[in-house]
Amino acid sequence: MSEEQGTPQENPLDPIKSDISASDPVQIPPATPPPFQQLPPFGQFGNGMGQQNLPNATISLVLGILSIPACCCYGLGLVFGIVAWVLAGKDIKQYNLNPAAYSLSSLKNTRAGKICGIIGVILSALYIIALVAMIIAFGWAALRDPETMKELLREKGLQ
Amino acid sequence: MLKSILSKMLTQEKFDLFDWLNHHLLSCPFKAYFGVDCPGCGLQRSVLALLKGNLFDSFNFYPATIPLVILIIFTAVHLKLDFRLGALLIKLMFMGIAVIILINYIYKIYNHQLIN
Repeated sequence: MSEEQGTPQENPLDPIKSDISASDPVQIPPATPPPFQQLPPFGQFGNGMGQQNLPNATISLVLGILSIPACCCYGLGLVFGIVAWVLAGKDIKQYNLNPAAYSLSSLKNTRAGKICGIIGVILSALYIIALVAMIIAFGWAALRDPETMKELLREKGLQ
Repeated sequence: MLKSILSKMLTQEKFDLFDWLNHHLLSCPFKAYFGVDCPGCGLQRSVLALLKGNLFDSFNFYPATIPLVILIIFTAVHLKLDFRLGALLIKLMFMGIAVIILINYIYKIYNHQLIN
């Protein structure tokens, strides 16, 4: 306080005013960003610290997770999983080219999205392999008709 | 479809959303053509049971539903708030769910529950 009161413009009887004027020169330097830093784009997660998020982090994470519920719905899980995998792989390459420009949290999300996508692809692939194996083992006609299917299973001693 | 709902509402018949949903479930192509369950069968019945509040029924129809719902809610919160260990937790939960689904399907095969 003693330093602030020493400036000639300030009224020593008004401590609030002198506080504000004293804090002003401290606040100004961080308020103006250095010219080389980019402002974080709208709608990002994390405080950014002047770093961008990877462009497909959220999309790949969401698609990777959705690949499991969509696992058996008309093979949609396979599509979701592959899209998540490819997008995440692209983003990780982009991050490796320029690690300083992108935020770490988005990299973590992208990696999670990649792994979720891979697992979704594996599950969907297993499902499709099982389907093909059943068609090969029992034949299309038996699968279309549940009664012949049951007979077949009884013959083979499975049920 | 919409017309029937509206007419039911207008005539003040008792309209049960769950009943309506139960008759309009999507059946997967595997089950529709072959009558054999696929690894994802039971998910919709399970979600309906969960909406009704039957945790036990929901688990019976499809054990992975409750973890899946938790995972989806957690992911939404994580994308908004950005937890430090969020991505790791999501990965672990996802792997757990995949394992649950596989175990559930193998269990079904061994107990001959595939053909209804």
